[in-house]
Amino acid sequence: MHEAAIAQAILDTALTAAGQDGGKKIKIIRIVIVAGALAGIEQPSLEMYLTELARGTPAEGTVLELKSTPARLVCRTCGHAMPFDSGRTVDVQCDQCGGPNRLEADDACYLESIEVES
Amino acid sequence: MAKKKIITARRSILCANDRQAAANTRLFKKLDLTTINVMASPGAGKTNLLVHLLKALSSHGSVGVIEGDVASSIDAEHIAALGYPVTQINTDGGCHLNASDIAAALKELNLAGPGFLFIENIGNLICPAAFDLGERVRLVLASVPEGDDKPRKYPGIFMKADVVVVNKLDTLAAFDFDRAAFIAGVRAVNPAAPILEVSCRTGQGLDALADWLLALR
Repeated sequence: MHEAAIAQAILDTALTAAGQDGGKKIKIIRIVIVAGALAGIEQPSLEMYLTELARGTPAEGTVLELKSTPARLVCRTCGHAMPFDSGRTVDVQCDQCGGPNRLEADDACYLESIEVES
Repeated sequence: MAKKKIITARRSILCANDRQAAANTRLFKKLDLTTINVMASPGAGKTNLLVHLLKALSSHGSVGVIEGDVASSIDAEHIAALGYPVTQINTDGGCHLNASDIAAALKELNLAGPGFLFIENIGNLICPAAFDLGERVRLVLASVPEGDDKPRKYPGIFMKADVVVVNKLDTLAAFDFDRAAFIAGVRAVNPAAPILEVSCRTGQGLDALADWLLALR
């Protein structure tokens, strides 16, 4: 829902990272982002904003690659772990032993790399 | 021919916000203000809760509010009418407050401690969780009519809570709200945050919450 703010932050971060490369005239052609399952980022919406915001900047037309870091539900009784998809509701009970689950996930969101063309 | 190159640069997307949040934290500390970021869905009773807490805490130091709303100043006017310092932020459609909003509002509010500063975030269980404001406490407010499944459906915000408050306890008889299920839901995503039950209508539990906040100072 807050993809506009995130898209602007991604663009700013990518432009700053590109600027470290000696200030030559460059073009950003790929931005790789790593986002935790709970970062609340939806790729289509993010791409739409980024496309618009990047117009007229060195990142115009860039490809956005979003890598999601997985989340999981881990049972505190038996240790059984199952992947948690952020689109789902948290199961409080382990499906193996009925023990209490705990969600292990993060909301980190960072720029991993950019690909530039000069 | 175009030369391609990959630049690896691990940096937080929200580093600009995080930097401002860290500056806010330093400023809160300098002003001796314990700052509470109140997050909830629309209608959970954030403003009502603040009114009660302002009253309870005002005898222990200064108190003030930064009100975040998409539009309108209804909540800020309500708090100002009661005589408490308040500054309104309108995000014009924005779904969350960010650290720069708070820095600007704090200047305008001109509040000095020792005391408490409350930030009423935009009514939304998703986006406010992503933006650090530099606060001392993240208070997530739920309410009985919303249902006991909210922690399981919005794990991100409950995961980040330092304290979870359930409001409208006086309406339990009218809703299918299973308290044990709510607590289990919170515990599945957040092992440590205290869970306090209140009713802003009857006053139940509000002293305990005020005491919990006072113990932070």
